[in-house]
Amino acid sequence: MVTRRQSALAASLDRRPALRSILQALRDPHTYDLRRNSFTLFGLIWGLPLSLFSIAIDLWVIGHPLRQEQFWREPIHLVFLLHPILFGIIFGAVGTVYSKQDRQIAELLDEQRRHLEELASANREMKKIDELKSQFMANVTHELKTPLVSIKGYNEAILEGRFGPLTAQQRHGLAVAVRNVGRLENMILELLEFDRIESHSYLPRMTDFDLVALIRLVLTNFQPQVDEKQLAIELRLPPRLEVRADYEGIRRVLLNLLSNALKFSGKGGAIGVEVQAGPDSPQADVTVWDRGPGIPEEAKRFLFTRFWQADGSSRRRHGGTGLGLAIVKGILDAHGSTADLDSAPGSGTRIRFRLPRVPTPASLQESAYASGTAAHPRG
Amino acid sequence: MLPEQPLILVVDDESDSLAYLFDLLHNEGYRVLPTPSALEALAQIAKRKPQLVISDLRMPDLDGLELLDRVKRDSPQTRVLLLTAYGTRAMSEDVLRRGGEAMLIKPSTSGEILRAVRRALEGAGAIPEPNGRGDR
Repeated sequence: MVTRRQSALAASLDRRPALRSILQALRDPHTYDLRRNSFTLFGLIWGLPLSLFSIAIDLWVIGHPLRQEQFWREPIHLVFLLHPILFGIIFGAVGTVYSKQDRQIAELLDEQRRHLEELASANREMKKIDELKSQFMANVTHELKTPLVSIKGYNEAILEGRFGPLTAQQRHGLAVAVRNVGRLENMILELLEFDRIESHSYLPRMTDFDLVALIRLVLTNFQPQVDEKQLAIELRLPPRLEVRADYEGIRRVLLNLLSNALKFSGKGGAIGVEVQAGPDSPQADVTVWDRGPGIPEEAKRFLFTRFWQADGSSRRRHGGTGLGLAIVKGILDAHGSTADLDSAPGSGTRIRFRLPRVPTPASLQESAYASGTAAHPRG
Repeated sequence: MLPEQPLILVVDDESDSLAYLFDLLHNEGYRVLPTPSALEALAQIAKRKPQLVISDLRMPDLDGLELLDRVKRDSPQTRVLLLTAYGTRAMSEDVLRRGGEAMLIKPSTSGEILRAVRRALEGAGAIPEPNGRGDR
């Protein structure tokens, strides 16, 4: 509330701008700035010897200090006498500039600190949301999976003829339903797997298994799509190859890579799987390739990030959750392996990864034989 | 007269899943006792002494693992098979360590479920082959 006295004061100040600016200056903390005032004081002291020197010269030359009227006749003496004030003003101005700069820097730092605090609190908020999201994902996935149990179970049991014979048309219709429930289930499993990788609760359980048998098993899952698209599958696999890795994880990697290769292959195209391992190599090289549209250079950077597909229209054409390759990366990372990408638009895509081999008795014998011959080269 | 078919108790709080398991097993010729909650299942197990219990893992009143522990304590001859919508291999090892037969990940195919049931019953020293059409 504005009192009468305050408004009267304001009115009188309006009429006397000089008084107002003095009052304002007195209110301004800058007036009491130590750094600025020390500059002014230094100027005053610096100017003092000059005026004292001019008085001393007057005393020496004319025997007494100048009288008032003499100052006006020779104004240079006035300049000498006023030197402390002159220096005070000059140094004071410099001090003002410096202290203003100081204040600006302090304000900037303050602002910076405020921004940092805002960022930190935003970050805390994000982490909380991320935790909620993970929790939500786990719950939703479970809820999504529950109805699948009876849908898939009944459909499959009926399709298998457990509840009585079926006509050809019924069998066909149910087969389509079962296949699509399978797709739905796969997407839900993908979400679950992704959630496990994201929340760092995925730990590979290393076992020794035959990689070639696993590849052949995974390929059988895709037989219906392969037939539908009339794709040629080119395999270059050894008869068997033991690797040490997480069986379920590598199964998921192969499923996702092959599913992508199939998804992006046109009718009558070809996909392939190659496993290469030299006799002495401790690693197996696995390559999954297709002759699809390939991946543009600018897209490669994002390929293994979540929810991402090469372009927006691709999602509509090819479907999928966009999590496949993020899961591949997560699983391979946990194995200490990486997925190497070799692709150019129009010339297909090759994705290669390495897994550690299990030393077989045969390869142990081979190396024993090799060292034996080295020890007795002429023997 | 033929020897009596083994009795299988099925427990799942999800009524449709329960119905599916009942139909599947009943169709194979087993005697099936469906129960919608774990506590009711425990009461029935004490009374009817089934050869096999098939239980969901996540249930509101009693966790499937807890049910497994209680069944193994009260009637150790009863075999227990667990079903879960999501499980890890560590969890299925836990089930085996606690004396369960196996843990199946839902949705499993009907063939997988029937195979697991047959294996569990064989282990139980039961039992004549069911007189249904059989699995494939």
